Amino acid sequence: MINMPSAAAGKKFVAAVTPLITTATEWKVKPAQCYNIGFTADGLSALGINLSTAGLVPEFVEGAIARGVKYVKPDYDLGDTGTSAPGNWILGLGSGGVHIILSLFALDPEARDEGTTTVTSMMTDAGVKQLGFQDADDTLGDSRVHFGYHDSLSQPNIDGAPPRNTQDNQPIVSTGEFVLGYNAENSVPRPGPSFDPANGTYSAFRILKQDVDAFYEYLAEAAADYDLPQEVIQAKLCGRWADGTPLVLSPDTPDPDVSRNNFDYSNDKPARSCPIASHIRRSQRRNEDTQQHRLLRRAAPYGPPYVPKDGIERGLTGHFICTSLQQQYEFIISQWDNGSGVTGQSRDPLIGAIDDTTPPDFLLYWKGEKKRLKNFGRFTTTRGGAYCYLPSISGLQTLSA
Amino acid sequence: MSTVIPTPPPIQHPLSLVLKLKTGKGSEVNTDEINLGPSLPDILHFAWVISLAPLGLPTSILLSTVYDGDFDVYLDKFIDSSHEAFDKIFPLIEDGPKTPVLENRQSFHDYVRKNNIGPLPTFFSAYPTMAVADILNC
Repeated sequence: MINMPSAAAGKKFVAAVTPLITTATEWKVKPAQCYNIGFTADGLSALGINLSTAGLVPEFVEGAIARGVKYVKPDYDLGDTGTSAPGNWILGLGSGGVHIILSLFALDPEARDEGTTTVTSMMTDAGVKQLGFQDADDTLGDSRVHFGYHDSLSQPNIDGAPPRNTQDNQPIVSTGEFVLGYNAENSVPRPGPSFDPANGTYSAFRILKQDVDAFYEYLAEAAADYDLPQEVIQAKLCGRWADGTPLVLSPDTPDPDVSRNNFDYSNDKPARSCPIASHIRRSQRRNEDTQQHRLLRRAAPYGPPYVPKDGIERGLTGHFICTSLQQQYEFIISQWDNGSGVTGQSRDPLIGAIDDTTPPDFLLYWKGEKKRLKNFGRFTTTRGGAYCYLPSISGLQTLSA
Repeated sequence: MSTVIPTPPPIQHPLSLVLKLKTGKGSEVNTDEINLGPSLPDILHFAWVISLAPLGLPTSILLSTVYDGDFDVYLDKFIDSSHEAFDKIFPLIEDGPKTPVLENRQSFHDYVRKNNIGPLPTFFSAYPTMAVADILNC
């Protein structure tokens, strides 16, 4: 998280860091470090961009802080309320002082430290200020997250991009849903801003704290209260067994041999296998909706492997990348995870903004029996957020000129 | 565990529009060509059309729907599912929204917001907190 005290300092830093920024060029050998750079609306303004005439989408110009304050309930709930409210965000993210979010992805700790040293030196030379940083790592291995699930299994197949490792049967998503300057779904043009007409995009950067103690305590209590195996409740809340096995492909037990991603809900319309309210069914609707609400996720856990009651914060941090923050990121959060666009009887059990005023029901079926789980609280809270513009390389050169 | 069970807020909403058709040759709606799409939004409970001819309004129809959640989201989902039908209907309506509707979403939103004659306080649902998916899931 970086603040630019002046346009001159900001331009100097952007010019210095631009050669490091990872491009779309395919690599044969994975580089030791990759760098992405995103600018908040305040950041672009600090560099001299006129936010009202640049052709930026209005939700980005308004920003994550204002949107979080504005949209809490009832029909458009971004969930940034209570302890998740922007006033409680860390690392300067709630203050409006964050201008740049620079992300460094490194193969190992040595590469991370080397990259950090390089960027820190550039910041010092240019005269920009670091407001804070957030480490994240695959410390649990196997792309697991602190709630115990194998994560990052479902990502969109984008027209023109290399195919995903974990293939699915979902339609190819139009390039313009993820890269500005190309057609989005329904052949609708999605232009970039005037200073960067093509090859930029937006992201919602989030730091999400996971209350792992509360999650596992709930699983144990619910297992006793509803006479269900704990791992079944864990699977039903997500829509997958902890190892990633989709419930619609293997409803009774985890199965390492079934596909992790090649499925939809055609054969589970009444949601007897995968609950209608489960995390994956409401966050990525597959055949139950269009491809207009897809996200490219770049996230990793932070905090050490779980030890009960050790008081250490754990969570997830990263970017949700898309070209329409309103139609993609905000839509999924407000309508599907926190809203009634999927079910009016619950919120997303893993990431939903659940409090005393939201419906706590979670309907599941197990061995032909209907169970209606109640009384789970909010397991994930927002520790910080920012809407970013991720320029193309030529856009970065324009911004630094 | 505590046993506090809050009552969820109503999520079903009515929306009613009176559409006045242009008069004159070539303005008739060919009902055989009008199909709202292969898959209507899954946040739509009901939709029906009533001719207002019995009220002395032979060129007017009443479109009523009941949907879940946010008004603008619902309109966008309706555009996504039925834009081809809307592009045929709207040029036949007096002061109708601009077409093609996919490229003129705001015009459609503005038109519906302006002409929505509901909701009236008497809207009743036996299960106002149940979304379409909840009902299918029971």
